[in-house]
Amino acid sequence: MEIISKVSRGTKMDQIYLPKNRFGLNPGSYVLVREVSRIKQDKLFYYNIKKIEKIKIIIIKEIFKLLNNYNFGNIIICGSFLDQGFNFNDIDIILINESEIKLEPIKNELKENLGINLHLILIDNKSLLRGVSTDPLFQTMLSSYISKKRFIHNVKPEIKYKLLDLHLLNSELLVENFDFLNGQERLSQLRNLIAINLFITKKQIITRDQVYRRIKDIFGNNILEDLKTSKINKKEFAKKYKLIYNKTFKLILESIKNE
Amino acid sequence: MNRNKLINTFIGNISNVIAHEILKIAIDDETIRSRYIKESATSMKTALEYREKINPINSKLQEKDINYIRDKIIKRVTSKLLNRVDEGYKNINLDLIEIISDKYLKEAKII
Repeated sequence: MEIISKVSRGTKMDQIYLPKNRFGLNPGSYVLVREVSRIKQDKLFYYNIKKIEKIKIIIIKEIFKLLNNYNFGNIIICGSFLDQGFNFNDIDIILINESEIKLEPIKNELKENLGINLHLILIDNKSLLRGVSTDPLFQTMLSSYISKKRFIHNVKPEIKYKLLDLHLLNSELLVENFDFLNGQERLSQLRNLIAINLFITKKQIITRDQVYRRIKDIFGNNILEDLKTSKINKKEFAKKYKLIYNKTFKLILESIKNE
Repeated sequence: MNRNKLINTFIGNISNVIAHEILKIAIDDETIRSRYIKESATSMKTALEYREKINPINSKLQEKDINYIRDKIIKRVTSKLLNRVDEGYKNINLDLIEIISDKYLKEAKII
């Protein structure tokens, strides 16, 4: 049983009155008296979220509550956790802070309290906006999110070919490492390649939906599942993958000299 | 995976890490450079996972293996970077290849 009660002033000692009619808190039992937090329950900010399960909102609120002590400029929940269903591996959390802070203790605290794997990204506001403008991975991450405070990222796309070349390197060895990687790692490298390709060809800020649609267009509707279960025809996959990788790399190299 | 295959896959991954580091230095944009400073850590993790399967695990490799791996890495990274230089990519410091290769080979307990 929990009761919220007011401390009233007494002559020798202050006291808390309990109603006579109650369940529990019997005379003689020990109780914990603790001040009720006066922190106002913050409203959440939704961006491009069509539908989300109530349990996820409860988890997000709990995350925000646990992170309250750290006074981050903003906290943004994004990634596959916000997709419908429960097919997520971890929760992507962007923590906006102007100075460096050790993430390991925070990660451990959240993991201990929630029992969920978390992927924390610490970044300052300026770098985040720069990231949205230049980095297709940030664009896809932030194409839908729930944040603690309003987050305005109305930025124009800025294509930095040297940077995209660097990002593309992270997807170069997918075929070579295929058997060694797990489904999530394979998907992450494929997504990276397709996001970069879309960004270069469309020259627009891109979204997660666009990336997934393009992946399915090229590799078939079951590709996401197949990458996880290894049911995939590796030869066919490698052929298509290398083709799009080489095309993307060529496009980057052709443009890099003008940068 | 047999030992030779493991070594070659390790070479592929660590070469990627080294090229990544040199290309990062070539980006003349401080905001972007500082943001991505930790990025190659993921590729390094994969390389180290391969390394853990190559005997001897806890000590440096034999001279013959070291020479083979170092030589292959330097050739592979040089080729990757020259490919870019030929296309007009400026600011790539090829002198860093050997220095950075040795740094990562030490980290991976190859040398």
